[in-house]
Amino acid sequence: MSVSTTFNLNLPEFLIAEVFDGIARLDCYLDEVELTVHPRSGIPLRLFRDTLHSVLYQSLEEPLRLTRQSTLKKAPLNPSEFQAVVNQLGSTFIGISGVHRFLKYLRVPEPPHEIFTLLKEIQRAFPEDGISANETDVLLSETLNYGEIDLHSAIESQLQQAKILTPVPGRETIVIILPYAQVNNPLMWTIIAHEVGHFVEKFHSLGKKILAKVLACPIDQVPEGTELDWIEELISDAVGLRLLGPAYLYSFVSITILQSALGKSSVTHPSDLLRVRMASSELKSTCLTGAPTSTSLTKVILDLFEQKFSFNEKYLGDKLFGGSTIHSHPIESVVELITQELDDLKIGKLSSESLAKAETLALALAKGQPVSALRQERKDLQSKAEAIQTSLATSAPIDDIRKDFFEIRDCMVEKPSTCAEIINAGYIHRYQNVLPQILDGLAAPTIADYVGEHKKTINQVDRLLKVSMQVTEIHKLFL
Amino acid sequence: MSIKEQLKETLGHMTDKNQELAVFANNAVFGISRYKNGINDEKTRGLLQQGEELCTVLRRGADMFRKPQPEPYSIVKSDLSSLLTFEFLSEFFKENEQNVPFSLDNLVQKTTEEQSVLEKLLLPERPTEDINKRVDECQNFFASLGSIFVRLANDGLRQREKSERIHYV
Repeated sequence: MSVSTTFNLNLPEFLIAEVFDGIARLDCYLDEVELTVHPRSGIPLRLFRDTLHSVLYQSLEEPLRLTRQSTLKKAPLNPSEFQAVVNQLGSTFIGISGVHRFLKYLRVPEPPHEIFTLLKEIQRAFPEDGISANETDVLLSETLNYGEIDLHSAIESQLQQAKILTPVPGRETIVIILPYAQVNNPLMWTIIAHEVGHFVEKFHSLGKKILAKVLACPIDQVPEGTELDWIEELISDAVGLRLLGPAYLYSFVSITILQSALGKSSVTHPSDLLRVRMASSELKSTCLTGAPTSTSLTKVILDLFEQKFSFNEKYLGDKLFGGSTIHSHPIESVVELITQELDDLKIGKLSSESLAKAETLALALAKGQPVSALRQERKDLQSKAEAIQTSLATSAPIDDIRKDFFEIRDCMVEKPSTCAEIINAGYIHRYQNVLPQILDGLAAPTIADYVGEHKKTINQVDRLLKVSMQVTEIHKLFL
Repeated sequence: MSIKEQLKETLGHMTDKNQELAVFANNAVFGISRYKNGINDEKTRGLLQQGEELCTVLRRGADMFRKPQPEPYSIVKSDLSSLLTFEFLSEFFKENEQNVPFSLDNLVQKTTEEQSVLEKLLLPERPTEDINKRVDECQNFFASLGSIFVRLANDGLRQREKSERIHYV
C-alpha cells in the first residue's frame, strides 16, 4: 500500500500518520477560525497554536525517531520501545481530544454546504418519504466524536416537563453532530450515514422488529435495554456500510484504533472490535468483489486494527468481552436479520462497479483533478465522426447511423460520480499517497518543517473532494 | 464520598492528569532508549527527568495514601494531585490484578528502585556497570506504567462522552 521510501506503514507508522494528521486538522481549523473571526479570537488562538506546536506535535518526535531508526536499521523496536511508542500515540490522541474540547471558546465557522449534498444523497437512498423529505442540520461539537441527536424529542420532552406545550408541531429534523476539527474533512462525513441510520432505525422501529424476531415475541413486548441498543448500533453500521462501503469502515477504524479498549462493549454499544469484524465480513460478501485495490487496502487496515487489538490485549488489559450473542442468538444471525430488513426497505447499496469506479477516480485525485464525473475513454473519435459523415453522404440505413451516433454520444457523456464514489476515491488516495507522503515528510529534520506542507495537502484534498461533490450535482442536470 | 469519587463526578481533571502522566512514563522510556544509544544530551536528560518526576509523584501519593486522610481543602495542590493519582492507581490495580506486571504493594518499592536508576543515569559521570545492567528493567517498568496511565486516561475520556439524547457512533 505504501510507496514511501523510508517507511513501510506498519502499526506505529500508521498511528503516527493518523495522529499527525489529527493534529494538523486542529491546526487547519484554527486557520479557518483566524480567517473568519479574527481578531476577536486573538488570544485564545495563540494559546491553541502554542499548545499544538509545543505539546502535541512535539510528542511525536521520539516515536518518529525510534520508528525511523528501526526502519532504516531493519531492526525491530525492543518491546519496551514499541510499547512506549504506541502508548505515546494513544496519549497524544487523548491530548487532541482534550484540546478539541476547548475549541468551544472560539467562534465557530459554518459547516461547509457540501455536507448537505452528501446528506441528500444518503436520504435519497431511502425510498420512504419520511426519510428523504426530512430536513437536515449539522451541529458542531467540542467532543471529538460523531453523533445524531433527537432534537425534536428532546425539546418536546423539555416542554412536556415544563407543562408548556405537547406535542411539538412539525417534522423531526435529522440533526448530525460532527466535531469541529473534522467538519471540513469529507472523508469523515461517512459517519453521517451511521447517524442517519439511527434516524431510519427509529422511524421504522427496526431494532424492535429484529429483536422481536430474535425473541419470538410481539414487538410491543420487546424489552428496552442493552441488547436493543446494540442491535440499533449494528443496524446503523449496516446502513453506513451499504451506502459508503469500505470508506465507512476506514472512518470507523480511524476514530477507534487509538483507543485502549477495543474489545470492551458498553451498555449502549457492542465492542469496536466486534463491529469492525462484522463490517469486514459484510464488505467481503458485498461490494469488495471486483475491486482489487479496495480489497487489498481493506485487508491492510483490518490487519492493523487486529494488531492494535493484540497490543491492547497484551499491554492494556483489553479483552473481547462477551458481545458475541444477543439473547443467545449469534451476532452473525442478527446481522442477517438486519440485512433482510434493510433489503425489504429497498435501501440503496454501493455496488462493486461503483467501487471499481472509485479506484479509477483515485488516480485522477492523485493528479490533483476533481472527480465529479468519470470521463470515458475516447477512442477513435475522429474516425467515428468521419464514418458518420460518410454514412450520411451515402444515405446509409438510418438505424445504422443512429447506432453510430449514440455510440459517439455515450462516449462523450461524463457519468456523474456519487458522493460515495468520491469519498471512497478519497480514501484510496489517502492510503496510497497521502499517508506515505506524511511519513516521508516527517523524515525532515524537525516535525515543524513539514507541518505547513501537510496542511496545504489537507486543504487541497478537502477542496478537491468538496468541489467534486458540488459539481457532481451540476453534471446530473445535464444527463 | 471519597475525594476520588467527588472527582469522578468531574472526570475531566483526572483524564487530563493521567494523560500527562502517561507522557511522563513514555518519555522516560524514550530517554532510556536514547541513553542506551549513546545519546547523552540535554534532551535525553529532560526525558529522564520526567520519569524521575513521575516517581516523585507516585511516592508522595503513596505516603499520603497511607496516612489518615485530612479534608481535601487542607492538602496542598501538588499533594492532592499525587494522592488522586495513587487513589486511581490503587483502584486500577484492584480491578486488573491479572493484567499488571506488578502489584500495588511493590509499586512503591519498584518506584524507589527505578528512580534511583534514573538518578544515576542523570549524573554527569558515567554510571557503573551495575546500573547499566538494570537499565532494561527500568525501561520495562516505565513502559508498563505508560500503558496503565494511557488506559486510565482513555477510560475517563469514554465516560465523558456519555449522553442520553445523543447517539454517538
